[in-house]
Amino acid sequence: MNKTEFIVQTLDQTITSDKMHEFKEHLDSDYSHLVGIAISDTYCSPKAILNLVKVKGIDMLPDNFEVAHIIASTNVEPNNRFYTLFEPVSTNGDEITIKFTDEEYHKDYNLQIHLLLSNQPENVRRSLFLN
Amino acid sequence: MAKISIQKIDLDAEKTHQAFEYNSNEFKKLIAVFCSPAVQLSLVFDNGRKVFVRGMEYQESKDSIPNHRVFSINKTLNKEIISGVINKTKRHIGQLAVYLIVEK
Repeated sequence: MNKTEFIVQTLDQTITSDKMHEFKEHLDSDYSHLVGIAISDTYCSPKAILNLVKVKGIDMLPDNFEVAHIIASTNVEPNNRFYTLFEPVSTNGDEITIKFTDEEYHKDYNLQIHLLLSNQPENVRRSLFLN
Repeated sequence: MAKISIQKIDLDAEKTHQAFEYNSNEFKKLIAVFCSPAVQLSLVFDNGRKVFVRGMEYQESKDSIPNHRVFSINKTLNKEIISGVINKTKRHIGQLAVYLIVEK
């Protein structure tokens, strides 16, 4: 196996109101760790927050984390769009729970959350992000 | 292996100026700091003795690399109080928080 092997799993959720949206999905069981998270540049407002990002009861990010910290435009190179400044989370096919709120929602939009999974979390972090 | 975590210091978003303190006892290293967009950050180490930054404006752009939107510090912590002041700029909206990326 290539030491930098990884996969990007994408979660899609239509945001239909300014209320909290909760979505859950099982992560790819062929990969052992969640290493990064990215959110595509969408219509979500600067006030949008990730109320919770949790795997197996472990918080990946602090509660009510501002989306502004991790959203990236298409001007950023694809591999650099991932936010990886947290401890890689052991997954092995576990379910991820995400709660999201956009207080300034004004029309429906599709929120895409990209999750970077790998079996060699430190190698991926070093090779993609820390150079 | 060292474990890193993000410690969030929630502040009152209604206030324009606000001081904060964080007891870093359980951590050995401060890797980086970031905060809510559109604020000015002052940061003091060594229990109030060393001013590290004063009034640095912090803003975020979707066109920058998310991992680079932090102030890298890499400072060894000696069971000290980290303190600081946040000043909101006119462009600030939403919640107000300071985040410390720390290592155990």
